[in-house]
Amino acid sequence: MTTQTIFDTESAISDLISSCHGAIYAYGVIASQLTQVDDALNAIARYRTKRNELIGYCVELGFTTPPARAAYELSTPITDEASAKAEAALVEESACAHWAAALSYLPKNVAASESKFLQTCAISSFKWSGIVKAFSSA
Amino acid sequence: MNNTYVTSLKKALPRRSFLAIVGCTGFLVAACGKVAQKPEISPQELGVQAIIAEKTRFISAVNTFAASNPIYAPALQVVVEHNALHIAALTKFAPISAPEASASAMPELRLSLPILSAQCAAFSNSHLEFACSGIGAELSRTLGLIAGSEITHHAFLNAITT
Repeated sequence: MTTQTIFDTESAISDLISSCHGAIYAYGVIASQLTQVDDALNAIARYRTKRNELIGYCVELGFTTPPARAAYELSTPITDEASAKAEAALVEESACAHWAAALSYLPKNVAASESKFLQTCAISSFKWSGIVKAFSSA
Repeated sequence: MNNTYVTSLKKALPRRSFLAIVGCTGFLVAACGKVAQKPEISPQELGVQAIIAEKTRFISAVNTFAASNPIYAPALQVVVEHNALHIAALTKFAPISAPEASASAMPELRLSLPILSAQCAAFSNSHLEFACSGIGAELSRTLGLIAGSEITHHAFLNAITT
C-alpha cells in the first residue's frame, strides 16, 4: 500500500483511495494462492465499494482523485496459502492504520462511516491471522 | 557593627518602593501557588483521563474474572496487556494522572466473557466517536488504532466464548 502525508481533508481522502487501490491489487494476488477464495473476493468487493464511495466524496468536494498504479509492492512474497493469509492480515492492518490517521481530517458525516470501516478492517485482520494486536501498523 | 550595606540600601531604595516590590512579589508567589493547585485541564485531556480511568477499571474487572476462571487466564492476559499499552500511549496526551480506579470495578455486574466482550466493543465505538470529535490529529490517530485493537478484542473474546 502507498503511504502519503496527511495534512488536510483532501490528502486524507486521497490517501484512503490509494489504500483501497493497493488493497484491491493485493487481494487479487492473495486470491490466486487460496483454495477458498470467497473471503478474498468479498474483501475486493468491500474495498471497491469503499473506493467508489471515497471517489464520490472527492468529486463532491472538488478534490483530485488519485489514480491506481499498474502494480503495488506487497509486504511479503506470496507463494502459498499461508503467506497469502499472512499478507491479507497485513493488508487489513495497514488499512486500519491509514484510516486511523485520516479520521481527524475527515468531515463529520464522512468520519462516522469511515470509523465503521476501520473496525471492519481490524476484525478482518484478526480473522485472517487469528492474532490480536495492541496497535496496527501501516 | 558595620551597617554600610543597610545604609546604602536605604539610600538606593526608598521605603515605599521597597514595600511595593515586596507586595508584588507576594502577589506573584500567591498567584503561582494558585496555578499549581488548580491547573487548567482541557476537555481533550479530561476525555483522555476518563478513557484511562475506564480502561484501568476494565483491567481490574478482567483480572478479577481471570482469577475465578483460570482456564481463560492466558487469553485474558493478552487483553490486559494490550489495554495497559493503550493506557501508556494515552498518558502522553493527559500528563496529569487520572483518578485511581477502585478495586471493586464493575461490582454491580456478574462478570462473564460476553459482558467483557461487549465492553470491548463499547470501548471501540466510544473511542472512535471521541477520535472524530475534532480533537488533535495525533490523539485521534492513536484512538483510532486503539479502537481497532478493542474491536479485535471483542472478536477474540467472542471466539473463545463459543
